Amino acid sequence: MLDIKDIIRTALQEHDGETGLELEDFIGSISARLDDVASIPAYDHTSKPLSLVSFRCMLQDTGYPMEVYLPGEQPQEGQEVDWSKLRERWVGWGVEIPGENDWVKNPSSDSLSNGLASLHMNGSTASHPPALQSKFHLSSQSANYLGALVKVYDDVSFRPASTHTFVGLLSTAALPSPISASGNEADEAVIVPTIHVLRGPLPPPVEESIRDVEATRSALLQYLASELPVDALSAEYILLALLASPSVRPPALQPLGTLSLNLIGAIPSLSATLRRLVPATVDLPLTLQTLHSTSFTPSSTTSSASDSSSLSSGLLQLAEGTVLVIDETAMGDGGKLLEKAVRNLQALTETMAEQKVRYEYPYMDGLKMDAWIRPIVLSDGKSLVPVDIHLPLLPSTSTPSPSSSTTPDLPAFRSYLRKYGSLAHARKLVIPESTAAKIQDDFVTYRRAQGVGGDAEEVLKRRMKIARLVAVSYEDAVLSEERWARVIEMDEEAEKRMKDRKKCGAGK
Amino acid sequence: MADMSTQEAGPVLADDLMRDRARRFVEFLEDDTNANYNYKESIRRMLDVEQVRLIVNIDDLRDYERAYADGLLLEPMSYLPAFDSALKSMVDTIYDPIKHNIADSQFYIGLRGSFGQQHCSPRTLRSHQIGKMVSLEGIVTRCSLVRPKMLKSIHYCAGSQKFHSRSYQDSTVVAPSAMMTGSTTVIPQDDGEGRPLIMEYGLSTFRDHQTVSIQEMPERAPAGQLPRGVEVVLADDLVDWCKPGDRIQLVGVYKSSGGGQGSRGFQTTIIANNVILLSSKANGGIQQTPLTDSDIRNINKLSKRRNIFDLLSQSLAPSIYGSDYIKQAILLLLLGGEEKNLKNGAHIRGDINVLMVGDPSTAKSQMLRFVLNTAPLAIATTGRGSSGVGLTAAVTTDKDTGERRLEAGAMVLADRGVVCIDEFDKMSDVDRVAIHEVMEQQTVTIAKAGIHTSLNARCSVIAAANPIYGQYDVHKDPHRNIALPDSLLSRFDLLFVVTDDTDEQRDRMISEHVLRMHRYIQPGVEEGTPVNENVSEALAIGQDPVPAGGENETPVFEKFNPLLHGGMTTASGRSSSNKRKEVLSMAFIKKYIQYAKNRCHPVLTKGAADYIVGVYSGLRNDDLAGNQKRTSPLTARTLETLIRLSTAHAKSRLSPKVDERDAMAAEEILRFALFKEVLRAERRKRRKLNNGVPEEEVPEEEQVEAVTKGERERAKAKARRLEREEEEEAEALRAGRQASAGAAGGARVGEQASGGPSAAAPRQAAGDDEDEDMDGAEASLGVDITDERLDLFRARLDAVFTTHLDAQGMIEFSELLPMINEGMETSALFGSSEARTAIERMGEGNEVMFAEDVVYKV
Repeated sequence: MLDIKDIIRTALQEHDGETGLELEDFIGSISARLDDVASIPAYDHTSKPLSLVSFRCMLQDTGYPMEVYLPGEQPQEGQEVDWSKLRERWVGWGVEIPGENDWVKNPSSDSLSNGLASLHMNGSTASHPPALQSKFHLSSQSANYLGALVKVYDDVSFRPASTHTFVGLLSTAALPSPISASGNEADEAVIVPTIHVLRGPLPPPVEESIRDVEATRSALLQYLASELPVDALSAEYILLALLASPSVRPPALQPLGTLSLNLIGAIPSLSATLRRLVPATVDLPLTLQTLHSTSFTPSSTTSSASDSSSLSSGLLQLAEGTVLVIDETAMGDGGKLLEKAVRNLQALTETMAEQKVRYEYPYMDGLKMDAWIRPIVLSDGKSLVPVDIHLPLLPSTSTPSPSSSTTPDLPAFRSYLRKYGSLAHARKLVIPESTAAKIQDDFVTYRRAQGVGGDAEEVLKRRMKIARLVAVSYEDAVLSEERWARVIEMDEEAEKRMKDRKKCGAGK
Repeated sequence: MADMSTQEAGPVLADDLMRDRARRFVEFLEDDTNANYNYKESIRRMLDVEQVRLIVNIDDLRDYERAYADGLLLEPMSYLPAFDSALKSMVDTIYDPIKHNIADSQFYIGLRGSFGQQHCSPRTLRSHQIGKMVSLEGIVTRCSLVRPKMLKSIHYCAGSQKFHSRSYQDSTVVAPSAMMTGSTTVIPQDDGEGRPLIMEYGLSTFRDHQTVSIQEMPERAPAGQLPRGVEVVLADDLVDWCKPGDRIQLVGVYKSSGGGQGSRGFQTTIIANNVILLSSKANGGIQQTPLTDSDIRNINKLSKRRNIFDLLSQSLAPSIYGSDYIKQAILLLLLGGEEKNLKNGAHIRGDINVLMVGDPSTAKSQMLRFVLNTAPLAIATTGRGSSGVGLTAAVTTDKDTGERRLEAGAMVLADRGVVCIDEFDKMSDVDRVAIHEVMEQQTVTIAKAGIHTSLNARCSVIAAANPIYGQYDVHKDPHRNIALPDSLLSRFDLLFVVTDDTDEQRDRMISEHVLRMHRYIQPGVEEGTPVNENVSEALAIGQDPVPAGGENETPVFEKFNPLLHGGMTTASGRSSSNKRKEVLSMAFIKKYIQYAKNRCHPVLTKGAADYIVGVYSGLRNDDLAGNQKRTSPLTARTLETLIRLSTAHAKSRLSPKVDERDAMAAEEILRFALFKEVLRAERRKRRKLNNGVPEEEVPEEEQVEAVTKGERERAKAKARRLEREEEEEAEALRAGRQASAGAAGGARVGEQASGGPSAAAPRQAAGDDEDEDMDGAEASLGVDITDERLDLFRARLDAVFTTHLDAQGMIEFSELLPMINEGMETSALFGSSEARTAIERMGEGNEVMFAEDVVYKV
């Protein structure tokens, strides 16, 4: 990494307009403040140019070529640039994390001041030019989302859609674009906010340990059951879905450790509740309009013809661990799906199964990047998209009485979900020999009972998926025999509900 | 400079230095004493075909004048204009006024050869390359419109009745920066004394100009990274040279434009100097993994093993349990048979087609995915393909322009590759009709909307289908279960019926297998593992790609991981008690298949042919007893199938001949695939279902087994004898070389080549007299090499021999040079004569053998 002083100097030199600053003093004050990373304000729409900000962002586009710059002193007008002094820096487009919930953004502030801030925000900022709007996909925000060009003065590479925290100096710069876009060079440039990175990416904060895991787990289950409200089994399934992580990706096979859940029945408060628990949730109402008007996959081909080096965002380009609530009930009575919608549905199916998102680049078929999405489908029946578990909801049994009177320990729930939903924890999974033997025996007996042409293998695979997450939801991540028994119970119950549902349907 | 009478827009030489350089370049171009090149002749040829770009091999120039070659690479702004003007003056002297019209053309030099350090990819292009000549490879993703660019404008001033001219230079012109300072981009409006000017468009000079975007090749982009691109400016004759989708090699000057002031920063582009289309090269641009010397040694070593076929087939998709015969079939499919193009225009398919029909959840789709990941070119599709193009091809109309376009479907795109079709039974009737032609004739004929054409679709098909009732009904005949017409079925060489049957042992294995997968922990996927930017590149520009060095050796075996390789059953130990399971690494299998597919072209022996005829007539005449039913019709195509399968089996052994044992293996697989037992209702409880060979067949099968054994013994003895002979020959060869300094060796090499399986033809040509000719040519070169340089060369050659040498221990000189020069400092690069001299010197010292432009390792 380049020396911090040189970065600041370069940033100042490239800054448009008068800085009016004494260089040495400025460098001194910035360097001093860098030591205390925690006190640096987060980047928002009100951040002043040339101030020090920290930006937690998802790198939406990492495909720009390295940018060439001249470090240190700029030559005088008319003087030759010494090409041997040129260096390059990494440039990417960072956006605020899609669907990031307020408690993550502003851990301290309450909702009231938040609302004020957002009001203020909306009033003060003009909407983005179209070139930028295509780089963020939540349509409600794409006009003025928080985004910045991130310039890293180091030989680095980042995965697309990865999240990082950068600390750096805010300035402005032109969005990289091919010079030949229209033949004219200068007038096309879109000036965007830019962060010259001085520190970063910062490592994620260390997880604090949770005192009583079992208690937190059951309290969380209770909270889910009463808040949504749903029955206990559904609450448990939802918890598992929130812990899912593609921890192992065997070559040429589907990743392990994932769970896609289809909840049959209405839970109006699902998104709102989840928003309080997990860092990022994105609602995806599968309406015909959404399917036809938005693009699910990020693409470099569909963007305006003049700008092929830019990657426009797709709905599925989400930060790691984002909970995706797919609302199939929004489809209404259905209608005709055109090619675009079919493609979008295919992309969604693919992403749910493989935990990979297809990136569309010209002449690169099947360029897929690893993703980590936790899908929960809400539907009126069997889902359109292939899911692991169909679960009809029962009317809630737990009346929202005593549990809701005590204030729920949200911070504990959050750290529980964060810690046990992490890849690192999922990799700790242990399946003891005794349980393995039990599983095998169960399979063989089940299979014999089923006879030829049964779906025993599918059932086993599904149960293993559930079992993995049940084990992971405890601290030791061991799949003990009791837990396996619980898994079977859960699976059978879900299946029974599906059968009952069918019978009901037939009865009608 | 202000010569009004011509439209010459040629390079203008600023000073004496440039003129000196131009003179030197002229001398180089005139030099016809060197054996390697004769550019005078090339210029004449260039004029004859009315081209304006002379392709010069920079290695030749390096011999002639090292400083100038280095100058071209490192300071192209100062040297390239001089070279261009040298070419112009050469053209002026050479051209024939009757034949050639050179008045309006400007001439350019295009470079090829070895670029050493200056070779990079869009990802590794760095700022220190700015202002230098670079070469890189990529896919063209976008081409701008071709626009004229004004080089020189002529203005007429009505007031003074005088002409004024002005020339324009921008950052897309390769010229020394000193020349750029005076130029402007503003068109003059008056003559400086207030009189208006009128521009004379007819007299002004324009040049075509185009910008293209080049993107990293998909297979070279590091995993988990988005591809990077770079902008390239094409001018004059290079315009429209390439179109989007082309894979190209490019030589050009990496330039920076823009002042760097303000937020706009520096813009960088490449000004193209030479563009070479890659797709026109051999094997249609399908990416080939470079094979190293040790890879080939390992492949040859492994091919001697007796169980090589089983070892290979079982290492395929090790995570899929069982399905041994299907894996064997997939191996044969990947290897492929030999296609024949007869003189009468008939094309006999060499590709093997496989269809799997079976119960859900029997890993059919997994098999397809595996093929997709293994074959160098594989395209996946489903019977209900989403695109309107379907499997073959379609004519579409462009919405904007109304132009008709031919769109290729999956099978055309997979020409020379594999198409994986899932849900084959759900295919639309239109596609099903179209696929008939593709699968046997391997072409797609389009006669629609005024377009009538035939496209090649030489691909293997591997397809999976579900039975008609969703579940395979073992009480019904196979063809009642498979809802596909006979005409289509007969086009599949092998049809496998996969049933899901209950068997405690097998069930246990399956559940164990599923469990294992869940216990498996991926190695080295800790978070924060840095991305390995492995960029392997071909180094020679304008020549066939050569393997890149510095890569890690591919391990032959993978560590057997019981958690991952549940499907493996091959044990290498002789005694069954000492079972050490072996699994070949995927990377190695890919290389093995690539090597076997490309290098090995076995021919049918009499014995094998007789055997196949016997099998075929036997199959045709078999009266099908009792409950035994064929899965697919038995037609003359079956005969071809047998030939294809046995040829592919011979390839798996790297054998130059198809022996009887190959034919036997082919028969075994075919019989397994062909006969599917139909249960009689009363006996269904006791019988095993998926036995493959009906009971009546068993004794005969055993007999065959015995025959196989005896045959194998014989074959083994034969192989041993063959080996010994080869060794003796090699021994003699070595002696011969030492005695006569390698001159007489060529003939013997030729003999050996005809005996050995993989020796290539070029060696045979080496004869004594030609050698002498060569010597004569070398002597005339008169290039000398210092001992230091020779030592350096020796060291580099040694490195090349250890990393790149193929099995024959030989290497073409033209291939060798770029390898020697790979990654070297520009100032240290070897020129072609220098290298030739070095090799000659080494040849004198018996370090290598050099004949007919081929270097042999001693």
